[in-house]
Amino acid sequence: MKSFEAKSVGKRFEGVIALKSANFKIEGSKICGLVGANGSGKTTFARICAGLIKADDGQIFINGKKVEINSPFDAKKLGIVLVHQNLSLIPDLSVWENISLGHEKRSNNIFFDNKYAKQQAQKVLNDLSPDEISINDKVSSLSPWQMQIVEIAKALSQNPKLLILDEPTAALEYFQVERLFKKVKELIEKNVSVIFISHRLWEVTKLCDVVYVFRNGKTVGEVDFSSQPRDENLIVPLVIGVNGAIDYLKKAKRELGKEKTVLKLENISFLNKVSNINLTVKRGEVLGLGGLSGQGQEEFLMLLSGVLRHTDGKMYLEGKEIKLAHPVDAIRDGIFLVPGDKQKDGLFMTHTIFNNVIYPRFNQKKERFILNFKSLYQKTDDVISKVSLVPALKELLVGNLSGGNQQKVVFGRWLQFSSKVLLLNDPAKGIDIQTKNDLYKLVRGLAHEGTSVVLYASSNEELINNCDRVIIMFEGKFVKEICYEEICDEKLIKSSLRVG
Amino acid sequence: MTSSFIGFLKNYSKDSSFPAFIVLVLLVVINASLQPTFFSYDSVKSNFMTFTPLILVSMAQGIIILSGNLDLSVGAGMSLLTCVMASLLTDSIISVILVILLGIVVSIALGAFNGTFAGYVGLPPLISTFAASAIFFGLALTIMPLPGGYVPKFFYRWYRGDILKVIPVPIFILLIGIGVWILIKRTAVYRYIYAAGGSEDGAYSSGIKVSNVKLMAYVLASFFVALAGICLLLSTAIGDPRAGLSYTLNSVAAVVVGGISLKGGKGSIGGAIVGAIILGLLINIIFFAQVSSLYQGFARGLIIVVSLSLAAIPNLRKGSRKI
Repeated sequence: MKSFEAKSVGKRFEGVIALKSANFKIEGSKICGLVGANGSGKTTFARICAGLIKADDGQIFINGKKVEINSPFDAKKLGIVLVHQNLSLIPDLSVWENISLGHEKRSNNIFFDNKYAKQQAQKVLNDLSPDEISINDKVSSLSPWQMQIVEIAKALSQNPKLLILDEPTAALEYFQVERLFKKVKELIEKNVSVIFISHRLWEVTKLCDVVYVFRNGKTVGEVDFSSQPRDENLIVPLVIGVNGAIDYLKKAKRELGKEKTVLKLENISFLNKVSNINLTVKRGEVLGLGGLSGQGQEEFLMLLSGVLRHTDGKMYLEGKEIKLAHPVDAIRDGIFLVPGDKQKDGLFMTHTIFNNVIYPRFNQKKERFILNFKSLYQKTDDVISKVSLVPALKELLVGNLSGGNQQKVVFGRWLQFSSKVLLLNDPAKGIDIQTKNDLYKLVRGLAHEGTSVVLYASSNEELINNCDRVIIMFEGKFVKEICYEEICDEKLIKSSLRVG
Repeated sequence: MTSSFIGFLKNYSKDSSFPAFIVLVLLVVINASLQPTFFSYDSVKSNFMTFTPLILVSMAQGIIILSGNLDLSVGAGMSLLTCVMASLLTDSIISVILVILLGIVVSIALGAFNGTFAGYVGLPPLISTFAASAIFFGLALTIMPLPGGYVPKFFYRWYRGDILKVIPVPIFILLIGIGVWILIKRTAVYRYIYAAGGSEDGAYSSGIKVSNVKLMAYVLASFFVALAGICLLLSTAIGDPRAGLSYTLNSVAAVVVGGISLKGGKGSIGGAIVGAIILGLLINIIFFAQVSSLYQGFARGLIIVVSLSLAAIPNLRKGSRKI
């Protein structure tokens, strides 16, 4: 694509401004980064470009000519392809069917050329992830990173002229990201323009030629690496808006030796996903779970929260054996899970913030049969102010909030109860630095008041900053325990890869 | 040979229609033990004479449910077809051929009607096809207030005969339906039906025109409704505005028994066929077991619920909940 330009594009959702004035320009086949805090409008912008939503104002020009993108079909005709953050795959179709979906080649006018489609699917997958995904598997049987790879493969197989990657790396491992980068660079040689959206600044600085920064729905700056050095510190101030006033401080060391044990696990196992876990967690301790993604950390948290039932072993809470057959058991015992996939497990997207906050109350025995709305409104307002939700309107639909604000709601609704154990499943995945810091400040506060926290985070930085102790998981087992003093990036990576 | 058969069984055991298949085998065994002549040529033929309309209309319902919709008007549509055809048929072969073609065209028009409201107007199909059912029934009553019309003798006797002296005609018509489905399987629409039913947002963002797919699902299904209507007319030899009404919910039951998810996007048309045969055999068994007619509905309902629960067992085994 010779050039792609968006001029003062704006979008509102039921009064909430998602995008005020986005300005964006790519000249020639370049990789153009797009960064910004959550709620800054990156995904909205991507979805407008792909025709999934219609902009309220502004214009888009391709090769200098004004174009109308009103539907995904318009975008398809213009060669714009989006790799979705919320995957667009059909669970019950196979991998190759998904990859060719929507742009199948036909051997004549009516019938499919399935052989060709399979070959193409295999070819694209070979580049991205050799021998790791079978094209005949159903998508519903894949793990999140495999789905992400298939989603990328699907986009690549459409021979896009403008490829938009929306947070493609969030679910991927380092070496997979490397392969993706290699592939993206090849595309550039084939005259394709790429928009790369990511929270990981090091990826953006490494891969992109130009970086645009969005803040509060506006383009606030660009960094051109052909004239400026590839330095994250040039981008950070633009994202945050103030000159780096974020503290990355490691939390203070706490003496936990005298605290009593809250949670004790003996030989906890679940099928072949989690095996023989022995663990004690002290009152007020923040325990981190590290390791490569998909090594049983999420299953482990689900076992502790009663979503899954352990197949072997025993659990004790404050010395008493507990049996968790259902999430309600865990919640009544004061064990709360903040799920990672908030869209799927955490929130009722079509309901208001108020409803989302009060639902967990209904399984508390002490809740009255006839609800006292006045006190419920009060409690919801408390939660909103505790997590500093903006805008602080409890009548808003959760589906209209930005990703970061949604995460605040998921997290905040447990703050109204006194929790013994808080389980966090990658709570900061895909949210911006500011929200992340707010969240972890709350976590630290809770830990200080005596809540034990089990935190799984895919980013090492979060583990380093917030944990008293980190346990590395590999293939469902605890393989390494790292104490407070020793928690550092190098140690975490080495133990995850089992080299140190 | 045996090893490949075991391999096939292993693969098939993961299929959503597998529990239905097991139930089918059980029912065949029970039926055969109650009715010694079960496997005889005449008995198979007469069974298919009664099963074929339900099998075909279940295939239609299956296509629609796979696309994430529902059609509560198939039974009324079948009735309307029998009335239209019975009121026009005469003794000449040409009239028979023309009327069959007209029946297919009428059926497709009915399908397009439903598809337009479900796909483009965006009405919930549960309600819009329920309303359509009343409309079709009303039309049928206008054409033929009481059962009647004329079906030439050679035509309905043909249905009781054979093709090439071996294949009973009902099975032959069924094979036509299956053949058409095999052709559809190789087209874009087939995959788009699964895509639209499996995840409407996913399909939309993949650049699939979901409204078109819904319309196409109804239109394709209406061809099978037409075949079912023709078979119904031939087996009763009379046009009857009420003849098809029981087929609506039976077809939904057959589809669900056959392992197709009511949410759409999951299952196979083969399952719908198996489900329809199961329902047919149930009636047979209840008849041969000499259950009093007072309890036939009760027994049938009970067996359907039990076989559906059987289908749910594989899901229970996988642990307390899906991750």
